[in-house]
Amino acid sequence: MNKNFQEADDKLKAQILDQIPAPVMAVNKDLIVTYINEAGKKMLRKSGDEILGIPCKDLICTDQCGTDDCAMLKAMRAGKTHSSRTVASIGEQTLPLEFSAVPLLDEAGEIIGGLEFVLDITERVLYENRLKEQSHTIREMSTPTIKLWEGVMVLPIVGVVDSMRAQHMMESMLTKIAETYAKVIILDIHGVAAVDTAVANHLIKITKATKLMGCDCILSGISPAVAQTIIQLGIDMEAINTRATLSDALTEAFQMLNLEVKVKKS
Amino acid sequence: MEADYRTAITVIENSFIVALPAEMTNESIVNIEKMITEKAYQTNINGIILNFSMVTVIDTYTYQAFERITNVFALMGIQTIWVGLRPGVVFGLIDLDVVINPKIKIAINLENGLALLHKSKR
Repeated sequence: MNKNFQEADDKLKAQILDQIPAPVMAVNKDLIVTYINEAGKKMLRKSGDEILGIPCKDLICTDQCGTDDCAMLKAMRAGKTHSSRTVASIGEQTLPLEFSAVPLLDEAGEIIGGLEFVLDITERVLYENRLKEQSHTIREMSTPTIKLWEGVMVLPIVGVVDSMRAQHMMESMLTKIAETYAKVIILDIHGVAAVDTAVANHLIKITKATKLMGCDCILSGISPAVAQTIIQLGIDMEAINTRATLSDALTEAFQMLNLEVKVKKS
Repeated sequence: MEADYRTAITVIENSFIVALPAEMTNESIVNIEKMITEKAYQTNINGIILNFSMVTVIDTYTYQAFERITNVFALMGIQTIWVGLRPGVVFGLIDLDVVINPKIKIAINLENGLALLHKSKR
């Protein structure tokens, strides 16, 4: 009973490997292909006879082939699974691939070769690139610095402030200050939904940086809810000049620059 | 030890303008400090502008050295104003988490620095 099961199992094993939709390939110690499943043959567009007995670098050529970076060699040397990502050229095509190399052991536990499990990640790479592009666009959009008056700049912040964005904001602000010689900069956080300790820390850092540039910073757009959370969290904002609305901040800025707005009598 | 003569000092209306070199070693900072404190004592000076616009990098030590210089001048009754810190330098200082002394007066450029000096003299 047990033996029958074992036999069926051996037959099934080969079928299972052939039915896996991802290419699986085995090589010996000299990197000569000793086994490839159906999906692998399909990917290489070759029959089994054309593949077996041929060095793997002639079939799937990557930048790592023949160097110490070869994942298969690394896996065989270390006796451990090694995963990596690469761009491979197969015939005329180039494909971005992700693969895991596993050392193959015989019954005695000696390493006799390696097994490679390949995934085609063309689509994933496409998505990733698109995502990168989009985040770049968003980052560019998210940090506008507007000149409001001679010597007064406004930086409206909308959305979430994470450390990446805070860095970018600081960068764009400092370069703008250096370019325009602004004396006052208003940081409007009206559009920031939640202010926690991390966000407050970033804001404090930004104000510190503007002070070093010789520019006064006013933090505006602090809604009652935000003010309450800041107090509840016990964040010390003493060092920062804060105002409730943008217009209050502008009035303060005018005072700093000794400017006065008058109503014209007609 | 040979003195570092790469620092230019300009005197205008009882105040100094010290143009600091692009790169400063710990020794050259000590030299600069010695030079300007002695010169300020000899001549009748009541304001000093430290011009950082050429300086490309400031580390914690440099910052603290200049903070000390500012405090020394404050003790001598001389107003010190830092001008022209570059965005990259400021970025570096913030990254290093340097504790900025709020008493230090900083201006964006020489023009604003001189205006600040005149205002505080009055």
